[in-house]
Amino acid sequence: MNDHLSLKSLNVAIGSAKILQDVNLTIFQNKVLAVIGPSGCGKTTLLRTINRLIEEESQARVSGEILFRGKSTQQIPLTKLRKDIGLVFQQPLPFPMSIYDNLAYALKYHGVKGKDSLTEIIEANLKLCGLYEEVKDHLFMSALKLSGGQQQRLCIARSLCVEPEVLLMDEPCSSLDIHNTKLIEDLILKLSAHYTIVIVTHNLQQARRIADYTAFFLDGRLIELNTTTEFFTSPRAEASKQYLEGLFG
Amino acid sequence: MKASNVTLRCWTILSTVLSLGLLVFILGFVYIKAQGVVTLNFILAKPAGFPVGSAGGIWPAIAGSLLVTLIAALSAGILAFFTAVYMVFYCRSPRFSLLLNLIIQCIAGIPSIVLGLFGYAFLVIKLELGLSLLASGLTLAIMIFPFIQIRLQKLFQETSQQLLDAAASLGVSQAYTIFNLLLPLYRKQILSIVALASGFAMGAAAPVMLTGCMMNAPVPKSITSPFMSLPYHLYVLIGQGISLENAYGTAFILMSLVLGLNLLAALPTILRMRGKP
Repeated sequence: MNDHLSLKSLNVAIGSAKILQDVNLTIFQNKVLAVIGPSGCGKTTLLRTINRLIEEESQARVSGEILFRGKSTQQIPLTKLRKDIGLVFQQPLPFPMSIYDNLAYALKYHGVKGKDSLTEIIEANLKLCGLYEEVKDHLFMSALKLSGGQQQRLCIARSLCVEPEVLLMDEPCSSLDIHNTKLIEDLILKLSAHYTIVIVTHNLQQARRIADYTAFFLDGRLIELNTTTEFFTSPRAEASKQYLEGLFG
Repeated sequence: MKASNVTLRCWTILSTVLSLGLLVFILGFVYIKAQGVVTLNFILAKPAGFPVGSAGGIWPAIAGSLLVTLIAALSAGILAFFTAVYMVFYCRSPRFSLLLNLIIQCIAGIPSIVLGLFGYAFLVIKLELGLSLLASGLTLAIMIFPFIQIRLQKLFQETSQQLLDAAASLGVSQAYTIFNLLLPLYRKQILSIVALASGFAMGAAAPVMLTGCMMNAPVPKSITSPFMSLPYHLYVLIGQGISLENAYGTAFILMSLVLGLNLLAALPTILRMRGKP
């Protein structure tokens, strides 16, 4: 199995607060890794550190190393790294422009020219995210008029348009109903054939349904990384067992 | 209701009525006084008579005012936009940002006649721009720069960090996000702020009277030509007792242009309240 991302002795602090401590984690290619743990354990910070979005915060300090395809992420130009490692946020964040322009936004920056090429990529990704049939007659309508579930699928399609290798997802279903959650979970399973996916979730059942591996974090430390089946049936760490039993969280 | 509440309520209503009444009174007063003076010929003709301005019209002053305001709005608008962008999106040092804010507030506090003196000494004499539309436009630009910059900075600071993160996560540069996401998003507000500042610039006499404005000049042919402006023309007509009637006519046209710019500035808000995009 290929290591796609390797986190080595990763420490992250924001101001005086230590958010992540000595995290060593391997993320395998074309697999879904679920990151779980109680609120405030550093799950979101982990994602923001992987694509270096954490550096936008003036008080953040990062030490340790993250290797992407064997190369330190610090040696990869920021725009290239973030193109290759996309991030989907907890709240759907469509840009205040049309559906078409949302999807064309980053494509134009990354050099896709011509309306035909743009339209082809946009339609392909809308179809992949199961949104095309719903919006094909309203591509130039404001994306803000879409429902929450549609907006989140649009944001996933927008991230996929730039052809990332890794997709980081920060609780993408937390603000969605059961129907839209199911649509996104199906989409994640479909995408995992071609993309490496890291999903932060509070929903243990969701992790169980879609993830190949599960990483359990507590107080900024990685407590256990295991296959999802083993993690949920016979967790190695006592803290994992207690978390699954609902003794804290 | 307590007596203090009633007093406060009455006082706020009275203040609002007084403010509105003052505006209506000034507008009505100037309108009544200008009646019979403001004709198409007054708007489109050159000043005539002896002394100049006692007859004829004010077209060169209207054109001069519009052109000098355009130069000021463009120069100050561009400078203020990039300064605000730097301070919100690029400046990482809170101390330097504080210093810049202090400097900009100091510029805002410079009396307009002092700006006129600076424009004369530095732009007209030192940089050899001469008494010209350009020198006056740039002097006015210095005057309205803080007005635009402070408002743009406040506007940009309201940008949701999540939106910026979402754009950054697509691997696009910050500059691309500023020009392709934020500029279209804030286009109407930016134009509105610049229009409001233009109204402020158009009504100023002191910065232009020392830097390029003349008692009598044709419509400027280039940015290096001297010109006439409405506020200075008005000042001359009253100050030298040339024609009080024409002064009211000039005041009416000047107020109409400034109010027009202010209405233009308020257009996005009006449209939003009426539910249009």
